[in-house]
Amino acid sequence: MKQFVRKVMSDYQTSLLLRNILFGLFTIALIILSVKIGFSIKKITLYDQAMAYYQEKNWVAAEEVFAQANAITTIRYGDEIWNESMSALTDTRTQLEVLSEQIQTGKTYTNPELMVDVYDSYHFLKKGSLQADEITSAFFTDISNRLKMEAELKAYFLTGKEQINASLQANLAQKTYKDEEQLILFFAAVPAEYFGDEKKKEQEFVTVFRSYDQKKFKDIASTQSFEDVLSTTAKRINFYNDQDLEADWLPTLLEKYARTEINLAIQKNDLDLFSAKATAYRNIKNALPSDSQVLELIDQHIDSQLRQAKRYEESNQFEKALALYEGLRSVTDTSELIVSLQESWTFHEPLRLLQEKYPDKTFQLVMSDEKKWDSEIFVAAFSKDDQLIHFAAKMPDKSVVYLEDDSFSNRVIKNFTTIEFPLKRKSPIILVETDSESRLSTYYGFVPDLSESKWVKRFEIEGDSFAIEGLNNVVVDNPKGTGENERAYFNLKDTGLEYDENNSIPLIKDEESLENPADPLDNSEIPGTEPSTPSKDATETTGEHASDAGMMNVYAGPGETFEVIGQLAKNTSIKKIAEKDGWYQISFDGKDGWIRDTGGSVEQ
Amino acid sequence: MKTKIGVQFRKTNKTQHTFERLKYCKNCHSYSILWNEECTICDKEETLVPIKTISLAITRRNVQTRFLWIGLFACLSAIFADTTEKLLLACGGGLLLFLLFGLMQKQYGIYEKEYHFKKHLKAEQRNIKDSLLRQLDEIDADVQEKRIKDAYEKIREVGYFLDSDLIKILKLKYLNHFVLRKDMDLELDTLIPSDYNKHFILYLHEALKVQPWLVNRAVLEYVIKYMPYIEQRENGNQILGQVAGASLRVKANVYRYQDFIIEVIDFLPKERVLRLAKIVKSEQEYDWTNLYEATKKHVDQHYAFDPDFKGVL
Repeated sequence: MKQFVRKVMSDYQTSLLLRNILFGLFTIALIILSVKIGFSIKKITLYDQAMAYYQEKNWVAAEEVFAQANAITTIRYGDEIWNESMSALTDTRTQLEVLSEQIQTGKTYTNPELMVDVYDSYHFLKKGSLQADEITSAFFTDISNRLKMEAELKAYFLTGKEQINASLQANLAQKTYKDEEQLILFFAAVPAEYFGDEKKKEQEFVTVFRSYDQKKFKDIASTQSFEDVLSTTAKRINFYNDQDLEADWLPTLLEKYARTEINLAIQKNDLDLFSAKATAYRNIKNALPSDSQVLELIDQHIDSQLRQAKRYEESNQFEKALALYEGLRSVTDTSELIVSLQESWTFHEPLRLLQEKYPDKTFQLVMSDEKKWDSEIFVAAFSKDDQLIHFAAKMPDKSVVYLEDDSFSNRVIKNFTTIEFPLKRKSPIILVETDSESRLSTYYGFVPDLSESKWVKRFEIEGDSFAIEGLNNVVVDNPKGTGENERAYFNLKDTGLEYDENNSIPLIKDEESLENPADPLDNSEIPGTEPSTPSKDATETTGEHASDAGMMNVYAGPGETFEVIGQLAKNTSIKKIAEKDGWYQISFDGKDGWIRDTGGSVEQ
Repeated sequence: MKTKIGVQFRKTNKTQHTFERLKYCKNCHSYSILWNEECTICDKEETLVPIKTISLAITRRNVQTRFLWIGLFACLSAIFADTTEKLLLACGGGLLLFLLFGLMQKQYGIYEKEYHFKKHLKAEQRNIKDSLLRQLDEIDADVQEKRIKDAYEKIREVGYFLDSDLIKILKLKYLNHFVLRKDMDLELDTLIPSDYNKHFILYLHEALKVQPWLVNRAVLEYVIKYMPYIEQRENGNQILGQVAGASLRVKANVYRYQDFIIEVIDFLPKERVLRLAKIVKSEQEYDWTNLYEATKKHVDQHYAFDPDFKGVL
């Protein structure tokens, strides 16, 4: 390093530079020291002067001079205990001066919150000072008086009160209702001292704002919507509550008003209007008293409507029940009730499953049953629109399986039904009867595979008649192929029909049957056999009831206890909707009606 | 034959110590040993300052620096004092230190100056050497430009610092270009080389013609040592006679080199023989019997009838 310095500059230059740098530093240090000594002397002088004022009991002057001395921090000087006491006075003066500045700021910018804080701080300081020693107390009083703090605060709050009243009156006169919350806050913030005491403040608050709110409510109730009135008033109630202000007149006004409006909706029997108002009223529940009579009225009306819907459901007036449930959805949770209703309705009218899927199609040859092929309920029907047999099954998991069969697009479907073998009643075979080229009919046996969502064809046979016998036998007259000209017996196997030669017997043809081979087979002549008939739910040919002659009563419900709503000629073709306890539900003059299953009067 | 030139040498300063000839340039940090008052190396016309003055200035500044350190620390301690007691203590302590250091400096400052000067000289050795070498380059340039007088004057100054045959021979070469006069500030013993050198003998011959008092013991020793070589020169005997004649100026030399005088007495001029005769006759306390005899014999042989020698021996 030394060698490097020597290369850069000579000893002569180095010594000169070092000397000059040090001289500069020394000069600076000397100046600083001089300043320090000067300030220190000033501090000592001021301190002694403050002490002299103190001994003369001139606290304000003593504190003022002490503060000047204390502001000089170049040196510590004086008695520590005395310094602390004087510093406390300085703190007090500084705080009061800050508060005084805040008062001026609050007055200039109309900031009540700041003024209230100043008021609280001032009185906190005042309390502390008055409880302290005589010097502090006297000093506080002197400074406070000098700054005119109490007079300034009093003038501000009294003026503020007058401004509040004037603003409220202006709002009512102009119907603008602005700055209300600020006015309330300001009123609440004005210290009780300027009303007389706390009780008088509360009385004045009630007097001023009850009158104001009543007039305002009357005005908005006549000009604004129900929801707006509720919203505005609830907001005000909540505001009062938030500020911990007791203003019980507003809930009373609101209850009276809402009761009138909601009763009006009930009287009009307008469920939508009721729901809208009830919902609106319930939405402001937190602003209402816990024993709100209007809320009780709403609940009572909702319960009444739910009971009515239940009655409709029990009397199979599902649409009315559903309308009520839907109408009440906004005021109470009716989703489960609606689901339950839909299920009941579906069980009552299984065709709904297909009508929901194919709303544009018209169905014929409807048949349905419960608990088949692991389904809750199924329905099958033929649609002329697309010449298909449609199948729908509602599964235990509430899903619906839909199947279609187009195997008969070139055939005329005469009938279809389910045939049940004694040991397989839960898995019947759907038997479809179509026209045939060489026999009276062709019979197809199908089973729906619901797990795979497909049809499984069990057999196909042409013959003049079809019946089941025993546990597993199928009897076909004059089948095409094996068993021709016989009353042929077949065993139903998984692979199809298996000819049973031992039981089959030759057919004896009489003249009439020979002359008219197309007549249906009279199954009653065959002992122990059951003729091929559609299921009890299916109607023949078109699925419509046909009667002999005369008139039959149409009832409002499935029973003679229900009201008779009209009469129907027995030979009238009419669509059956559902069946219950031997009664058919029909559509009659645009309404639901019920007719008795008179057995012989309806050919099935 | 060379044509000698007549010159007037500038006076060379006589100094107590050689270092007093060194002058320092504050600008380019170089030394000069010449007569210039301004630096010839740097562009600025900086006044050259004797090295002693520079060393004293550095010493003085070092002392000032120490005073400033004390003052600075005293001020800082006072600045950071947070009570009046500490402030007074710091100020008082600082003043006391200041006074003590001043007293100490007054008492022992002189020793520091000498010590620091030696240290400074040692530190500046390389710088001084570089300056002298640079001076030799300038001399070489002067010779090339035929400024022999300048070259001699410069190498004469260099010769105060560098004692080498090279410098001496160069001096002799340059001196032999000049016509020597009695009023010249000539040197002789400082030019004696370590070995026989013809330039020195030539110069000796010329110098003794004008300033025989330059002969001293060193010259006599050199001449006696290389007397065989001198005798072989064209005017060797004459030179020897000149040297022996010049040696007669100091009785002590006569006594010390009586053998040399006896040997070359035949080449002494008449007035030097007369001087020798008077010396050996008047100063009987010296033991120079042989010299007396040789002188008497030479006088008897050559100046027996010369009235100047009558009654001398």
